[in-house]
Amino acid sequence: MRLRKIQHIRPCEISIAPLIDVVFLLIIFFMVVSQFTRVKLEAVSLPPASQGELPEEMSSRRVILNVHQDGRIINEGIEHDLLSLEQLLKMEKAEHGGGRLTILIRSDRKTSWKTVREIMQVCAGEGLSRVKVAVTEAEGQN
Amino acid sequence: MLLTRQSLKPVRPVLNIAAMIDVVFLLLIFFMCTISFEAVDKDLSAQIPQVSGDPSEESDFEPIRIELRLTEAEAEGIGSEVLVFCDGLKCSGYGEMAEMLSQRRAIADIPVIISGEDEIDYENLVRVMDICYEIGFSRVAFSAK
Repeated sequence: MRLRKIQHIRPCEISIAPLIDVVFLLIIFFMVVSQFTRVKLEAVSLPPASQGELPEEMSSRRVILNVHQDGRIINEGIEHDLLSLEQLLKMEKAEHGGGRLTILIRSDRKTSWKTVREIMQVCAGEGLSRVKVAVTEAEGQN
Repeated sequence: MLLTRQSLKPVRPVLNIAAMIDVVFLLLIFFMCTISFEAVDKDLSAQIPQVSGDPSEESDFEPIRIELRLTEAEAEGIGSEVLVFCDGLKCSGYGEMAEMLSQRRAIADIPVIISGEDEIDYENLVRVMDICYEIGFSRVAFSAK
């Protein structure tokens, strides 16, 4: 059998336009998401612990409370005092239900216990017992 | 002034794709890396005894109460030290407290309640909680009272 001669060999080309589209889309996605997490997570020096667990999947609503060394309580970029915190937790509880609400306290290691205790009192007052404290990986601490 | 013929010829603009792709990929890799570094926080579960009822009530055992107190600062410049009390007994440090807790853990998974004086740094309480979890207690709570 005689094979037919291939008339034209088309040159192989990478189409640049869709590649750039996808890459830009990814860049914008990562930029937005990183900005979003930064708003929620303030720069605080967390206490070290060896038994910390990785956060669970986001199946339940998590309220992140950043507590600075000077006692400022910040949730999603907004500063709260104990009264407004109570209001916030009330609202969150009404919206998502108390059982599905997790409070994550990201407190600075040098914050006085009084500040954190008062936050926990507010949580307990609202009937929220799913409270977690954020820690960093301990580096060979005994 | 007379322009040369060559300069009158329109030059076709060319977009340098290679350099742009370099920069774009660099940005992409940067954001991908930083995003994974931001999520390294870990959690410790800190139950709070409810106002209405104490979770330790469900247990057959009386909860172990660990209390942190501060010594009186003797002089200016000398910081006060943290004293550890386990069920009212003074421990020489976290090591002795861990030993006492290990003995109790051998009996059962007794609930532990941690409390402290107001001025104590929060990291001390987290450290006690971490030790409790390390020993194997599963019901460790901060006292919010």
